[in-house]
Amino acid sequence: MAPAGDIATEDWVEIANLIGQYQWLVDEGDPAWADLFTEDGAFLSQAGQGWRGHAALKEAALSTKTYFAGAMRHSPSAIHIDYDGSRDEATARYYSLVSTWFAEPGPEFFNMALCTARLARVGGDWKFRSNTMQGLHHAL
Amino acid sequence: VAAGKISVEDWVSISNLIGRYYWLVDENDAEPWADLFTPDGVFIALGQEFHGTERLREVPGLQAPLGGRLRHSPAAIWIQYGATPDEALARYHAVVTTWLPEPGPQLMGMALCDMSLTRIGGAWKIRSNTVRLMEGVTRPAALADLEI
Repeated sequence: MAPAGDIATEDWVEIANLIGQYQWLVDEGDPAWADLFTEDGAFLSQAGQGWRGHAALKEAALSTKTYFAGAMRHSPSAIHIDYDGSRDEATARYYSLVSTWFAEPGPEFFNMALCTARLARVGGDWKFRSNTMQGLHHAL
Repeated sequence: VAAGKISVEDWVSISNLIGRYYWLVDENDAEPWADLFTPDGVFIALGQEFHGTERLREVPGLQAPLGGRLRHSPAAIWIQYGATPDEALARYHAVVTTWLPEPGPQLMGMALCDMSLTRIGGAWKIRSNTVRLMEGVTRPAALADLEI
């Protein structure tokens, strides 16, 4: 599909802010994370496995609390955004440097996740249709 | 949060302020760092509160013994307006690293930051920055069972 031109500054900022919110909510184990996705949105591994739909995504967010107790943090960088077929669809690629901060064994690099987020504008707001991760250390 | 979606200009202005904030504190440039705050601004971290310009000027010097080899890298910036578009809350974290010859590069800390800002004379100023350093988190037993 033909690209729809360079990303508008407003859209780049809104999506970058959304990515910040996304990382905060999932790192805090907040099920409101699911609301950042479309109703049929998905969080996926490269193999296409993962969580689909709001109910499953809420469970995914809550599970980070169970497994990591808020001590895992994602630091996004190298955010690069292009429109897809229209200016209401976009793909954001970014790195997410994942670190853990447990008392034992102390701070550690946990993963480098290469993220490909497909987004859609819904009612004036950007939402994730999917976010697909390729982990350079742990597969997801 | 009641004042709608953050504008492009304000998001960029506040993100730029966060960048300046770290350059100044990491370079131990106390006066301009304190001037990023309102005169009654406050920095809260490490169980201490630094209220007002005079006390804020003490903060950058706390890391001076490291000779500029401690750096904060902010990420995951999420900004919302407060009750009006002249107030904002920026949430972000800062990965703190040290770069001393011995013991070499280290991940030193993860600072979770809630920064409250207000617009004064057209410019954003920090009313408070509350920093929660992540420490002493016990590794959940469940993590051992996670298949990744």
